Amino acid sequence: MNEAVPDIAEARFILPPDVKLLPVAELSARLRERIGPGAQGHSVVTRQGFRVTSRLVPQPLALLIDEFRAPARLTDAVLRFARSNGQDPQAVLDLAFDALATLVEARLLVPQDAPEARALAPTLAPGQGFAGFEIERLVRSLEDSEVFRARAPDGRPVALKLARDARPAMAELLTREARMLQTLDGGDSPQLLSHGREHGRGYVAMEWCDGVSIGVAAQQLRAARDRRRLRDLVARMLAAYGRLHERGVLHGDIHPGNCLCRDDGRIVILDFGHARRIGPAGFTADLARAGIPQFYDPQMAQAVRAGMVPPAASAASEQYAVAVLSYMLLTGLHPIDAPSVQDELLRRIADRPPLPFAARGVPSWPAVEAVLARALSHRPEDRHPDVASLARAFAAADLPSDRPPKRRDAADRCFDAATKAIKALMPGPRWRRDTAWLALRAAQALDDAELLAAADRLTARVDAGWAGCTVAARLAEARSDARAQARAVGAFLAAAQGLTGGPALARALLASAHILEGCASRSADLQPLATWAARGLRRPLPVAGRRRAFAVAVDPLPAFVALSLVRSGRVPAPATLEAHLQHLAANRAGDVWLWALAHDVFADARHRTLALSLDLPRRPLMRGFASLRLYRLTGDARRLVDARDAATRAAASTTPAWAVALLLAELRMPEAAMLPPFPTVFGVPIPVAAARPGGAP
Amino acid sequence: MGRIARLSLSALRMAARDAPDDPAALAQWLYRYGTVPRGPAIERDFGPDDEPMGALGLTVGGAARRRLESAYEASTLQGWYSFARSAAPARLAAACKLYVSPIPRALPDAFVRIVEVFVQAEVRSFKVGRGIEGLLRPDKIMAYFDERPQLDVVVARLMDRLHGCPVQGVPFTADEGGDGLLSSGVDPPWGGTASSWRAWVTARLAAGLIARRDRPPAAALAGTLSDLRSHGVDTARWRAGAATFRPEAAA
Repeated sequence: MNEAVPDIAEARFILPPDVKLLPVAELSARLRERIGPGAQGHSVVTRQGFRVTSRLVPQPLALLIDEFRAPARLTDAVLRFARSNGQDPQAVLDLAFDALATLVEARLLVPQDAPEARALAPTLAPGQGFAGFEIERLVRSLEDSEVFRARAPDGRPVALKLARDARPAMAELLTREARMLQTLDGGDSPQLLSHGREHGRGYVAMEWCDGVSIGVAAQQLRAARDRRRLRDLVARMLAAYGRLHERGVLHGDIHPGNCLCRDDGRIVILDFGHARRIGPAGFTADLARAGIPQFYDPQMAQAVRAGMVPPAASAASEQYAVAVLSYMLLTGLHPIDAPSVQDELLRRIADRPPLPFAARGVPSWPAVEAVLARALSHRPEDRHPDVASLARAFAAADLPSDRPPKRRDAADRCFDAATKAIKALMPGPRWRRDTAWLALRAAQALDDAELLAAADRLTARVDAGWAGCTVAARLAEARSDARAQARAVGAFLAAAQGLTGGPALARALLASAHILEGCASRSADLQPLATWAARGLRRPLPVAGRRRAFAVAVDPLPAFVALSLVRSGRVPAPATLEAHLQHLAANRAGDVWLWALAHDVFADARHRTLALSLDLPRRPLMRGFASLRLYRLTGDARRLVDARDAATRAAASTTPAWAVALLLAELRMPEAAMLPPFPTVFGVPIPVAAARPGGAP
Repeated sequence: MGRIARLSLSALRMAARDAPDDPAALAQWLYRYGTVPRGPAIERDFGPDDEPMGALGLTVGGAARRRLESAYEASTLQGWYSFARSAAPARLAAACKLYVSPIPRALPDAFVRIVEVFVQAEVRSFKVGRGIEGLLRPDKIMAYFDERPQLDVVVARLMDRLHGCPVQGVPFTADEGGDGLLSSGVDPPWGGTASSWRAWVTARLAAGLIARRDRPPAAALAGTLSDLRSHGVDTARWRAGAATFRPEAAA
């Protein structure tokens, strides 16, 4: 049932006291990264415990919104704001009215006498009685409902879910939930104990289930690298939803918080407030369809983006949602690299296919990925026939095979000898920077604390140029040393400030992308580096020594630099980047690294095709690195075999042994494999995104 | 040679060969020796900020949290989650402490078992590293005891419950179980030059090595260890002697 609609012109609105206006600059590095570089100068409007989506607003609008800390009509607040800022009130109103109306619609600005105008507080206290139950503690609090752990008269613990007040909409949800729980009668859902109304408030009392959200249960198994138990957990979850559908019930609000894993591993599906019977064909729209945008299927995402009435939930849309949830449980990540900005999220759901696990930095799992890819098909008719079929296919999927069979050869001997010498701090003055980099990458590949300590000592010997500072910054990240990281970033900027253009600036910009991407989790302020990089992108980057006309026409390096920085999430894409890529593609320029990176950034299948169509480098070292890059693009394990073969050939060639050792280190963590951020390593050139005369392969 | 002895010696050899000039920086380097590298995979799997609490079972409904809720009070310190028995009266400094050092990947299974032992044995307080950086450090879990016999009881129970658990190991601490998973230390008296056993011992090791920079690494290391032994420290087992902290206590 609809709530009363406020008169937007006459009602006095208030920004409730628990609504937060947080400047993006003050958010954690992790959240800033998720929001992306386009949000600088914006604020996030958010309200915990309320079923509202956080909004990004530009800073002037945030200041205007803050005017509603005291109740005000929209026009009065605009007038006050315009006067205090010396602006024309009519112009401000024209600019801001739609945005304010959206915030009213989103219930972030609410009428001053509405119940939502007050901060949330529990309506019952421990020890208090309600409908014959004794309240123990608050478990969850939302604007319209609360869940308490309580005691039944017979001493049994119960989950007591009740409406905050007598509003009919929540009572209707609770009645629906009670009806569904009664129908399902336990098993994969909590047993219904009682339901009704008390003091006008609807309630549902149900069996208390100890356990954690399935998201937490999966996190524990991912942290333990236990893929067998992880697969079993997801299989049980899929089977539970399959049984639900077989009983003719759609859950209607799938997300990890609505799925509990009990101590004994059994799955319990929670919150049937939005559940409904699987409807007859032709029931095509549903104004009240619920859900969290990350779990929308492409049809729902398209409808919401277009401002249309959402299509009704169906078994096929719910199959998509449980497949998204499965992917997230298995990898910890959304299948389409979901951004925080809702419109972009919906666009990607509507347009993009799921990414291979390897492209998200997760070891590939071909059998499982194939099952989920079908469930995540854009067209409902291409998905599994039903969730039960998906569950069966998933349960039958094999665990991923081990890495290609280990055969110890000359490449392994290069690696062993290098790590042994590094631990003994034996390397001489030559290739100090490269040795420190090898030590760091080997430490990360092997989770080896001694190699990490050695990397620290070796890095201390490296000259403080921008390349050395790049190693120091990445090392500081690996050592969780924020102060050292801030020092390294400062030194990088000092070393790179004098670069005004050309290949040296291009290489330094690539290194800055390494730092920005690799150090995203630390608290060091990376904004000055991002600003320097964004400014550097606007300078000329053609490679010296080439004919200028040729370089401008088909030099892939500037595009590669720009893509690297855009992928770091700290630098916005230059407006000309996509056109530049089209030009390069038309001229058959670019290499594996350029087109794989372009695919990472734009998810354009043509870029992937280009990357896969190119000949790999002939020199075995670079061929090995290129094969690893293609593994990260596709998840195809045959690329790992190719890379391993290339390492063996490199060890038998004139390639320096420690360069081979570096390739071996990357092979041991192929989902995180990378090229070193230098133009050469141990004297071997690394010609990434190099121009090829005439575009010849 | 046991794991902890080997780790400690390897740290000292590296430091003797290539030490920074600043004693505080070297002491810090020795103190952090044994920290597992941070990388994208472990960061993703444990999660950012306080999300690793979920991997430990410390979020709402988690197995470790449910076991602790009735008997312990939790507090959040910089870099640590600390747990103290709710019923325990305010007491003097602990007599000794126990380090429990599984590798990070073993924590989701091991931590709840460690908590069960601590709860059963009524350990007065313990702390666990906060965030992924807190779990990568070797001394990620520390429990405090009023008496050595209680520590011994807990060691025996943990050896039983954590059999086969992969070990990280805390350098410069006294091995208690033979494989480096469990080790102990005795903190110096409060108000002295260092706040903990490892801070105390690494500061002295750093000062000794830097004072002998002009000597060959092996000689610098031997001289430094000899100095420490003269303070009553058993440098093979990394155990303080009865006289080790006497000057600090007197001060």
